[in-house]
Amino acid sequence: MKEEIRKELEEIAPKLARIQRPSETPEVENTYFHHLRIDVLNEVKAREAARIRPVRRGWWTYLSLPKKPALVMMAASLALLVVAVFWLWPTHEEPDVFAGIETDELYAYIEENIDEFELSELVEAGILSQRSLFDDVETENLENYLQEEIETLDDEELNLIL
Amino acid sequence: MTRSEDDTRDVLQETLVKVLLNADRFKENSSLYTWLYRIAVNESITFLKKRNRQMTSELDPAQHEQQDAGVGWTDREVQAVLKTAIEALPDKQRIVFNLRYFEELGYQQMSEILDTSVGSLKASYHHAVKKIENHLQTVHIS
Repeated sequence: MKEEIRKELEEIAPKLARIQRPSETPEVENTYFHHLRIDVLNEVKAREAARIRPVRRGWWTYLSLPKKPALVMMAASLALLVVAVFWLWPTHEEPDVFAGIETDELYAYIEENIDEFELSELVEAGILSQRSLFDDVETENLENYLQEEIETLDDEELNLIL
Repeated sequence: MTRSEDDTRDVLQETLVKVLLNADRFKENSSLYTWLYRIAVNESITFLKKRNRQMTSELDPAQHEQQDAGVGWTDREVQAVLKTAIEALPDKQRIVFNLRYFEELGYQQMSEILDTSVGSLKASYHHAVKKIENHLQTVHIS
């Protein structure tokens, strides 16, 4: 022990100064330092790799932005607005399937295939407003039909017939 | 400082890793020895805080009741008592005591390592030594 330290110790703690200082050096197995070198180098490599590896963020991480709820609400509202506009905006017109067909040919075709059409389709197409399909039906027959089917017809169909 | 050899090995490994990772930060205005020591001591303190297994700072005289007659202490037994007393010191006092008593460092060098004033270190060391001395008196080691 250094003289300076020993003198200091004798002054403060005479009992402690008289005690033989215990050895603080632990014993290790022969291969300890060999393994230590390998362990240390591996750890250094791992930490360096972790330090320079770029952080890859998944898309889902962008969904959680609790620090700025106002920003999230604004973005969500904007997205909703865009979706609504796309949904409601008429992007294209239905093709006119009757274009280029003569009117008489068209009515003849409809009369032949009347069972395949719904009344509403014919009304929407403006066919019944020009020429009623019931013009050729006798009034008596029409009344009989109405009595039989009165419960199954809706208001629109009744208006059309009457 | 860490109370067990396994802990010491962990701290040593962590110290060496830190030294290699931060070698470019070493400034030549302090000695390499002091720099290494500082890292080792800081790692020890960090380790001890993590473990949070500080022993009670109050020494227990009953541990050595059988020798209260003050006879028959072998060197090995006395050293075991001393070791117990050192381990019972608070972490910072134990570090200061170890640096001075075992490593025989000067206060100036300890000050650079621990980043603490010399006066504070002297007070800490004296306090630690007094505690150990009191413990030795309590168990009647003469």
